Amino acid sequence: MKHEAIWKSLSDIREDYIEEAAPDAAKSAKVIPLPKRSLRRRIIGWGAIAACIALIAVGAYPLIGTIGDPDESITDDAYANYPVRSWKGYITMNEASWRIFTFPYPINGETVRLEFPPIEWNGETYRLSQDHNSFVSVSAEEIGDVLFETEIVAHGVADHEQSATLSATLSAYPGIDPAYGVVLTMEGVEGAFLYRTAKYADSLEELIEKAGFSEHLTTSANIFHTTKDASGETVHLVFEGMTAKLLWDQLLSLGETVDYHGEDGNWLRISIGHDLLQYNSILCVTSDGYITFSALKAGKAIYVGTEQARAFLDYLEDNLTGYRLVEETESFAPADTGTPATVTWTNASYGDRGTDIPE
Amino acid sequence: MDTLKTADERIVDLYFARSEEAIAETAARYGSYCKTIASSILASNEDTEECVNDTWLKAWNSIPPARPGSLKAYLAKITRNLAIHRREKERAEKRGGGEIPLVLSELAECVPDQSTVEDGFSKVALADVLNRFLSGLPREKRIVFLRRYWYNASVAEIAGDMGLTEAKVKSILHRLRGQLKLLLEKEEIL
Repeated sequence: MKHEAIWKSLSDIREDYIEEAAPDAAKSAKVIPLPKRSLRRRIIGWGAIAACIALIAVGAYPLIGTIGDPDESITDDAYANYPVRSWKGYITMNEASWRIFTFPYPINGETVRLEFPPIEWNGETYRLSQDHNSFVSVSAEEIGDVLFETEIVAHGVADHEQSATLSATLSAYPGIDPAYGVVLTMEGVEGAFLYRTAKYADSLEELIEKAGFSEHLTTSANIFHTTKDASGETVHLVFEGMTAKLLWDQLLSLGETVDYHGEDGNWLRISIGHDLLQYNSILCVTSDGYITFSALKAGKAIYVGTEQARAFLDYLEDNLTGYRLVEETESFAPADTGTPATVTWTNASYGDRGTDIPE
Repeated sequence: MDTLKTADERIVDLYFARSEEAIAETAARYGSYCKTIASSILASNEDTEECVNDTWLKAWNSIPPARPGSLKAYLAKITRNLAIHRREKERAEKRGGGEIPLVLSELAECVPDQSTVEDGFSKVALADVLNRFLSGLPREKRIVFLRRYWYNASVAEIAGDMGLTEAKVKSILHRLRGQLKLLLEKEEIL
């Protein structure tokens, strides 16, 4: 039976994983209940060194990739057959930022490969949203007004000479300004795909109003935090219990967008997401009460004040379920298996925010 | 430079020297560990003891030429495989209790929907996919997964060892099974 095959095949996994999970070793991964108020003193005592807390996109859409998801490290020559109804396809991100799906489509009953090149419209450049689950996170009922028509080319997988052109429509998504993102649908194909621009907002209010940010903010129950203690040693903490609501209610909703060009030290540095537009933005809380946020234009920040920033740290202590120290070597970097990175991509295809495209 | 060697390296040296002290040292250091692995799979203490003894024999017969990088994991694999094999042979007479039926029923959720019983599959490919799946997990989740499906620990044991609630452990396992299923479907394994 195949489930027994899985069970048996686990005997052949990497030996370091076997050791890591051994009963005596596993106990070192125990979550430590968070002592009251001690964490804030530790963080402040450790000084103004950038600490990285990764909040991984989970949010309201459980199909959005989370950290630890297997990496879609598929070359152009690797395909998978999936029924149209399930929409589970291989994604590759090549240098042209195309995304390639394969699924059965009636070109003589063959499996086809679709190409989604960048689309220019209304002065903006749209690219298919990075997350491979974007096509399932938008239902037909959610699609708004038609914006323009285009075409998508499909190529045969078994027979590369075969090709067809599919009519496609780009439409608005209710609650999202088209300047931020649109959805693409194709005739005869179930589901829709998100295309987004590399637009940065002037203010948090604009993000809320035009990108639906407050409702689509995503985060994870786990926060991975790297900082240094008073002796300069790197310390890694994993918190549990963060929610998007907590982050929003206790921090993001409390400030106003202002001009900011300071370079004060960061207490916390948080990576957060938008479950539709697939932002992977960095949010920093500075010791003087500013929240710099990479979805905002450069030179803009949200000001909450020192008192509120400190209160947020207190709130982390009071409301997170715990934290634990982990080994310094623990990271979300890929193991040396030749598999490209499984960490959530930053805006790799959008030019000026990083180039972390896995090879 | 012998003082720089680890305890495991010294034990492996004993195997290479064909000293029977190797077995005694191995049993002293890993007897309890291998017994835990075997007993999570097998129904009786007698079977467990025999499995552990077979582990030492197999280690003696395979080292050399093998020189395990991790003696602990090397022995663990031997014990697990022997226990699984023994369980299969005796399953008709003695239904293994404990966690195994639950573990297997949970792993059944990972089998892709389009999989058919008749399809063949590559064991090497499956192991490779499992390693890639595991390498992509955060350490804590990987440990939870393997404690459950490698070490066959109960949810309560895992929760207690790791300071998590049982609900949290179940939630983690449920999610990981879903992720594994997606990967197996995508890789067309099984």
